[in-house]
Amino acid sequence: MSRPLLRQHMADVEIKSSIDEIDELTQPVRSTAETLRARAKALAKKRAKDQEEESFEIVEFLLDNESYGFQPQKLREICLLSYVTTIPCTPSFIVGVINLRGQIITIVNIKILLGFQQQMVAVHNKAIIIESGKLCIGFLADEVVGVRKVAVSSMQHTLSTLSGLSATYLKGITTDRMIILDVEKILNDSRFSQTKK
Amino acid sequence: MADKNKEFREELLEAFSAEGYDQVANIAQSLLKLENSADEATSLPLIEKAYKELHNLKGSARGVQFSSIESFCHPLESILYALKIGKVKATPELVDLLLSSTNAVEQLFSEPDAPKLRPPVQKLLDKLLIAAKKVDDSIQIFSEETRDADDSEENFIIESMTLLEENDLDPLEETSPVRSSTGSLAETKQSHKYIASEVSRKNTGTVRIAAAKLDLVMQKSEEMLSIKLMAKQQAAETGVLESSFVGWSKKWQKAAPELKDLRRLTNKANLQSIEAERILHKINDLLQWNEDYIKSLSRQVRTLATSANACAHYASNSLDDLLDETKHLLMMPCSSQFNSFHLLVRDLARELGKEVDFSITGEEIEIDKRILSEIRDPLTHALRNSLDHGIEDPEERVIKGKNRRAKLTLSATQLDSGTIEIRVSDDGNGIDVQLIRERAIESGMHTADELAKMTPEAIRALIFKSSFSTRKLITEISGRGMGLSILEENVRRLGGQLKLESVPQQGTVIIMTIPVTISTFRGMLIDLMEKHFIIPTTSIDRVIRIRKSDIKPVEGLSTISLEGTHIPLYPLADILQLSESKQAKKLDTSEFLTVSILGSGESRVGVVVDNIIEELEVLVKPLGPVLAGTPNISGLSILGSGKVVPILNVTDILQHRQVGQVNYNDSTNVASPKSERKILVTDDTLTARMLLRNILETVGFTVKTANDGVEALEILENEVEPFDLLVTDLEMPNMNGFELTSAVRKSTKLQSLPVIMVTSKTAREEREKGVAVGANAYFIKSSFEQTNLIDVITSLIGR
Repeated sequence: MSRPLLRQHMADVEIKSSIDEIDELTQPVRSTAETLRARAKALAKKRAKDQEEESFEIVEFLLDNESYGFQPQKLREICLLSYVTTIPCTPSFIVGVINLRGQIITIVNIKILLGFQQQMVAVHNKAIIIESGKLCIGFLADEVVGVRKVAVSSMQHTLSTLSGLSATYLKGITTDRMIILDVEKILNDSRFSQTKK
Repeated sequence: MADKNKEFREELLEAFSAEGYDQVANIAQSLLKLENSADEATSLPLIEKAYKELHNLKGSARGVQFSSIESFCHPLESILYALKIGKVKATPELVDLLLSSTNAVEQLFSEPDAPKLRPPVQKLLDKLLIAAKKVDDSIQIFSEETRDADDSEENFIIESMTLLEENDLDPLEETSPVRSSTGSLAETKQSHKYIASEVSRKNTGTVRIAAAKLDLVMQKSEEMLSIKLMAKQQAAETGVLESSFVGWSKKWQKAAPELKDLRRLTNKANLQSIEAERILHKINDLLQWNEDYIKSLSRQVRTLATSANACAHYASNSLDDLLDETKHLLMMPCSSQFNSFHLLVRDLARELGKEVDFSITGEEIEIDKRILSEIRDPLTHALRNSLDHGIEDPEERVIKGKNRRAKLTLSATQLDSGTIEIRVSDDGNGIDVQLIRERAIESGMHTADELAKMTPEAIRALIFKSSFSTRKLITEISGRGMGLSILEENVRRLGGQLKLESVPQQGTVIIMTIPVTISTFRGMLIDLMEKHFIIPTTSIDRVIRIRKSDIKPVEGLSTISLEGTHIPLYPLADILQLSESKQAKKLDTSEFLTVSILGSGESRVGVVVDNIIEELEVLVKPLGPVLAGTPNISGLSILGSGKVVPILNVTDILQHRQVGQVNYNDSTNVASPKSERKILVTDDTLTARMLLRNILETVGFTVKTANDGVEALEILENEVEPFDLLVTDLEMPNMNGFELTSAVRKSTKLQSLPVIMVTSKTAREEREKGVAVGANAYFIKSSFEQTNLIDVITSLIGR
């Protein structure tokens, strides 16, 4: 709404709240039971709110219509893939490499890495660059949804359909079916620390 | 404060170690020479040298409170002093003890804070102390003070450092005398200014610098290559832009007469409409303006192109110069590596029971330190090889009429400004060709017939093949068959050559010719199935074009004849496991094949590529931890355009063994006896249909098109030969992509037909809709990579 109207509206609200306050003060004293009950109600609400607030930040991205998330500590950047150079004789989870301002970064398909079935080939035009110490890799993504808070309570820690392998790399799955990745564990995977035979 | 002390101590220890290692090495060297010296004239200066170095080491160790090293230095010093003044003789046992001790000291540098010595080391120290005591007892006049007085100043500095540490004093302040272990010195220390960090009095025009720092500078200079490449690329692209104006100019020139006419007519014209006249005039003016504008643009671009070129030249020259100078920074005399061989040979000879006179010549010649460290292992192998295989036991030698002591030499000579030759020669029993023959037959490497056809040199060269060994028993030292092949590989990798000369019963010489500096990496850019790869130039023997008819099958392999030998031939696509059908198609169409011969000498292989593009200088980047284990690929390079190109690992390729022949003439050799795949492309825009058709047909698919869903459905249902795949757009009139897919899935005939949606819609809901109606894949027009699409199609329907 327009400024003067807004100001008017706010003024109205203020006046109303002041009136409420005055009313309260001039109210005849409520019975103690009533007061106590009201207080208890207020306190109870607060505690529920506290528990709800235990959550952590998650960066969410989509790959093949599935939703994945991970904690942003190791996130370096997100980039648009214009040209990915494929490398022959590499395992299937390696999509290829890109040149990011002079640094060569390997792009992997997290879905294949974790052993999930490939259901649909989709956009695959973004990469999420993760860096931990010397290791820097990019996860293939269709879309990066954004950062949001995920409540700890909404996490289910195991899913019976997961194979043993992928279970170790996941922190869990949320109630709205976002797969939470354990980036640390993934980065420590032996497939990421090869040496020339 | 404690932190600062800790830091200071760490710095001190670092400086101490750096210098200490050198000192220990010098002491060891002198002792080694002492062992072999016959008379006093030679031995005395050696003892002096050792003594002096040890004395310095002791002082420094005391200064940094390195107690373990110090505890070794004391008895060592006593013994050396006794040797110096001639009170004790340098018996082999004594020298041995001293050498073992110096070895032990060297190990101690890495454990400055170890609370006590490890048992074997402690035992050695005890032995040393006993020996030192014996020596001490035999000399009456033997006092610390006498000795210390010789080097009072040095000692003083050491004491001062200790002082500084203990009392946290400012180095430049004057200080009062402090108690010291040498009473006589206390007075002289009064009121002296001193600087704690100057332990070494040497003040020549040299600096000590951490090798790591130099390496970093070197690395950064090499990376500047990418700037050079980018500048060149820019200059090239600007040049292309400039020349595109030429095209414009030509066309404009051609139209000049018409333009003139137009102008003339407008001026003369007696046109009905004033409006038309006005418009024509305007158009004329516009055309004129346009011409002038573009001409001026063209001039500007020309100037830009000239300066881009100039920039590229300048960058190129400056960076080349910088790189050159930095390389020279890294050159070190061979002696820095070679000196350690004395000890190695001595110990090894002892272990094998051989008696050897080892000499090194030419060690003052300088090489890039990286090359030096690369040849360290190969040389070690060569020396081991000589000692183990070449040189006979002393008794055997005497029987043969040779000297009991064998001669082993390591020599370096400068061939020209860029190359040096290193030789390892022994006067042992030479290379027994017969023994090699036997072993080759035994291990199945070659048949007797093959061997009969090989020259002696070729047979000798067999010993360079990995897994080849004439030793039946594998020992610590030899027999595993890896040594000499590593030698060959290392030498080749440095861009050098390896030769072997041998005369039976007289000796063997291994000759290595290597470059003095590491040159920038040059590679051949090749085109293979629309992908680019780089083959290191040093690994390419030659590039040839052959006729398909030149290919001859020999023992189940396709080969071609080169200089009288048959060289196996493989399609590179096979080795790299790229999909076959494309290359087979290409091979079909032309009578000629481009072949790159890789490797050298006896081990060469020919690989068929599509095209050789050019030879370039490239910056090599390592594969990184994720890709490091990849076979056939040794690194990645970035071209001037920013594109990443894999560099092939020729060693891996040379070891490729393909089973069976590749039939280059027959198009059905590829495992697809079925007829070619048929694809229906549905899109309402002509351009899209043409584009997709183009892409798919190049790869070898048969393509038909439809304009919308209705047409597509009709074709799919009624075509006699069924389609293998449907590629469809989404936004189409009459029946859109979703409806089409839905219909396909409902049809009994078509329900299992793979469907790929290609669209410009990126919304997630659209994709989900695609899944819902049963599409197999979904591509976004603006971002799909050609190859991605083709890969997906291949995975859905095969080739």
